Amino acid sequence: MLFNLIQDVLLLLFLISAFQVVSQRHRDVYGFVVRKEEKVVLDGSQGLTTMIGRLRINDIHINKPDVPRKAAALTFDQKGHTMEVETLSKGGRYENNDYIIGGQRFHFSLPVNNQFRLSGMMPVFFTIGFIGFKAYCMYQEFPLTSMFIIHGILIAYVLLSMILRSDHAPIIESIFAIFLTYYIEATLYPALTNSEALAGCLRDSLIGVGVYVGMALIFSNFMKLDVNKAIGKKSLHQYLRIMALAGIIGLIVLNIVLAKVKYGAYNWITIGGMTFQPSEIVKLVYLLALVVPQRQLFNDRTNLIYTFGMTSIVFAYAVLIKDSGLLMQLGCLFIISVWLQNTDLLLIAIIILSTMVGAKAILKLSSTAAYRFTNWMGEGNTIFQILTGSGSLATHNGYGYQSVHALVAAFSNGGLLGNSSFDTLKGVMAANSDLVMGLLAQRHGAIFLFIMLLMVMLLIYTTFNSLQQQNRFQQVMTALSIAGIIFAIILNMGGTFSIIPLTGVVLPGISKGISAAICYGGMFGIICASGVSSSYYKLINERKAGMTNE
Amino acid sequence: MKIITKMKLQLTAMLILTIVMSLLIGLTPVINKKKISEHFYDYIKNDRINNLVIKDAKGAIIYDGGFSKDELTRESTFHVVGDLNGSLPSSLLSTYLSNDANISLLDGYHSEQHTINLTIDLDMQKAAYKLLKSSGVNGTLFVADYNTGEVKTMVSTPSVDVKSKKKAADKAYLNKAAQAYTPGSVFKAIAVGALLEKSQSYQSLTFNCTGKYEEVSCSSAHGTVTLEEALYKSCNCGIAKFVSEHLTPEELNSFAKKAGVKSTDLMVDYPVKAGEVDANDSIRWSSDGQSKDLVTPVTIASYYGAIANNGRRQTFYYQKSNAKTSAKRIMEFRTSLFLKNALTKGMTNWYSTRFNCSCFGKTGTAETGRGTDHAWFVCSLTDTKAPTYVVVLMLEDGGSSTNAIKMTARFVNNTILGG
Repeated sequence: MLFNLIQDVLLLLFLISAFQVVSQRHRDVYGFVVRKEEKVVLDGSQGLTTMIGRLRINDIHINKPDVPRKAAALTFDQKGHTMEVETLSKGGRYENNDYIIGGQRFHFSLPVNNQFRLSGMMPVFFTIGFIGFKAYCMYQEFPLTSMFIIHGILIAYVLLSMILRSDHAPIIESIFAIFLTYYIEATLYPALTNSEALAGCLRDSLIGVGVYVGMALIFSNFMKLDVNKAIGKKSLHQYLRIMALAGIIGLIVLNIVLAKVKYGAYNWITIGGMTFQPSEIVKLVYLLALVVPQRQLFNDRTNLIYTFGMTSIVFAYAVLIKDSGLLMQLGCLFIISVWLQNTDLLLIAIIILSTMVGAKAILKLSSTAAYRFTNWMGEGNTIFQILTGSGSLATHNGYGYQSVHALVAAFSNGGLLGNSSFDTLKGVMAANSDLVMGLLAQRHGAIFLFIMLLMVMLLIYTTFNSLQQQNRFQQVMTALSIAGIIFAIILNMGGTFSIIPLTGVVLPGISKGISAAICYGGMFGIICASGVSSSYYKLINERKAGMTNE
Repeated sequence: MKIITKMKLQLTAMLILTIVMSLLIGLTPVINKKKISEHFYDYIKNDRINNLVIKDAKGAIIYDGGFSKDELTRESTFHVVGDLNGSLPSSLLSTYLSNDANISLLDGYHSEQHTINLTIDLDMQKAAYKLLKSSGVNGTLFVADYNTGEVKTMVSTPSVDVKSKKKAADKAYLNKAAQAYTPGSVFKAIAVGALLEKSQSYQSLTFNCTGKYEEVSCSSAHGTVTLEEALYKSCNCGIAKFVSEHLTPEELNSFAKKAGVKSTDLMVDYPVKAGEVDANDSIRWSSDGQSKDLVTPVTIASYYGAIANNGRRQTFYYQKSNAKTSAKRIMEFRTSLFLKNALTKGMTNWYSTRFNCSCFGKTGTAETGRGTDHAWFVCSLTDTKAPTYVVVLMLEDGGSSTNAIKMTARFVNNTILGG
């Protein structure tokens, strides 16, 4: 209990310091400050890329018929300290920090951030303190040196992030690392009662943490690379979309050929002794395929066919394997990508409507989904009663078995500070994956559960800041990744505690599973890729005023 | 709308969704507090049942997360252990489960194995059950150590097999050792105790029994009997005469109460039914254990144990954790010595050959008023080579006490001494 209390205190200190740091930096801007006749039309909060054109979706939109829908994308080259202008359509021209289009002249200058900022290192120190203490606590249960090694990887990751990031405030990386400490715990959970399982659990947790951190580092650094220049005429996203389509088809074929039904899902394959779900990786690949920076998702026939074709394939795949959770996540990614990358309201409405109709049709198609949904609703319940678990509690011997056990574990058996045990969920299926928050809340207490929810809120809040430090490609990727992560969190935690029906979606960064590590590790990496270069950061923070592109 | 604005709107929507979800997660246990608590207590009950181990005095397993696979163990221990439905409210499982689990607001409930060590001897328990079952008469056999208070055997028939789906026999859910029955002549020792506690001079009282005294009668005339002879010869008229002439109904009631007749706490961990003595109704029949007298076999064991223990009554217990070391004096040493000598003479005169050890005791044939008799036999082992046990056998509607003596002797010789 004392250990749990100390952990809670460290997490709260982290949350407080992180919220303070992020709120202080919330006013920082990284993109161009744009003036029109001395009047500021953009304050730099649009991010590193500034789009200009006739469409309202542009950062600067000029409502004149002679202005192209998307005229140009302007980015500051942080290494060469020069302005990069990507002309998307003819109609404007760039001249000495000014962009002239439609008879209007826009003056571009670098932003200035000279307000006092709190040290971004405080949250990192609390994170390291927490991870170190968590390692010590885990060592009490599993007296193995590996406990310190595996947690040491996380400390090294956070420290490295702090050193490499120009703002030295790796809040998202810290949240990610804190989540992973619970991933270790969830993965080791079977070994708490069965010492023979320890070796396997330890291997799984080491591989899982390695995959999570590895994927995060790969995606984070890949996003920062200036690949566009290296790959010639085609932009990065065009290559990614081609690879994504090939990847999705490959994964689906792999699934169909090798998959076996496990826990009611037809999407488990075993390769080299490792069992994983290709459907988890499909989410990440589909996300990559949906990004069309600086253009619209359906601006030409090729894009239209590609987007709809691929979406149809992945949706059909989700239906084939009867994975309603996957279908909802893919639907969420699709709707958000359409929302972000289109202007045609009618088109957006059609897409959203068709997705909803599709989802309803799937519910009828999949008996499991329909069973879950019907039982979650219960009979004669009001909406409020449905949203607070009445259906599950009424069917505690059937559908509600898992959720009721999770509710009892989290809110009764564990007390406020946790009983460091897991007995309520012992023998309950998917205790350390689908129901992982019930398991952890019993071990660490109901207070911990709400601290974790605050952590999720901090993640979203911090992503607000990240967007301002990214170019358009990174921004869309981040928006989709955070949507993927948060939607999965809502599906998982909501399902666990009966707020929504159970879907079998795992909790990103926490639930046991290697395939989820590949998917969500990549997504976390994308969100983390928000640091501007040190020289640029220095430039916009030390200059007192004025502009330069020299 | 600018794309960055859309993204910020998206993040705001996700933040709102997360806040709403958090609120709903927080509200769910508040709104469903009662239902979740019910499930929690169900879980705790199951957990405690699954983690419970019950061992006998020698460490033999009686219950280990589930009932024994041995039918004889289950049936013989039913009235001690009970079942999971609470059919026997005073039984071990019922009281164990009714005790509040250790739940803390801060760290909730901890699942842990709980072992209950009994003073009961499983071998004796099984032997007693077999003995009773084979007799064809229902009743109870209760054995306790009068020196330490440890209950060694507490068997009642008919019993229940908790794993059987068959309908239980009539009165199977009654632990007869803790139920009150008309005691008959085993009560005479209490009546004599009451006399001597008033005055030791009553030891010299004499009476000429003609077979009839007022409304009381004996099966045959005993002739001139002293108080001691009246007791061990079980002379109804003599006891009735002595008591009615020298004690008021209140004095007899008072000593009966002191002897534990109306007590429910003669066993620390198993409440016994309060008995009854209404000397005001008929002090003569009452002194002979008839009339409205009702006494439990545990009470009789407790009183005869106190006689053997020089007047000090040891409180019984069947769970080792409830061991009590202090004994309570309920009669003077002289009274206990007189009773012990008188009852020993009775045993020596009539039953000594039946028992392989020295002991004192008393028979009882109690008229039920239904045309049947309860057969009683109680004896305390006093042999230095035998354990300090008091044994009570009560056969409900069992007829003459002769059968009770035979069965008790077989149990003492074969199980207690032989075992």
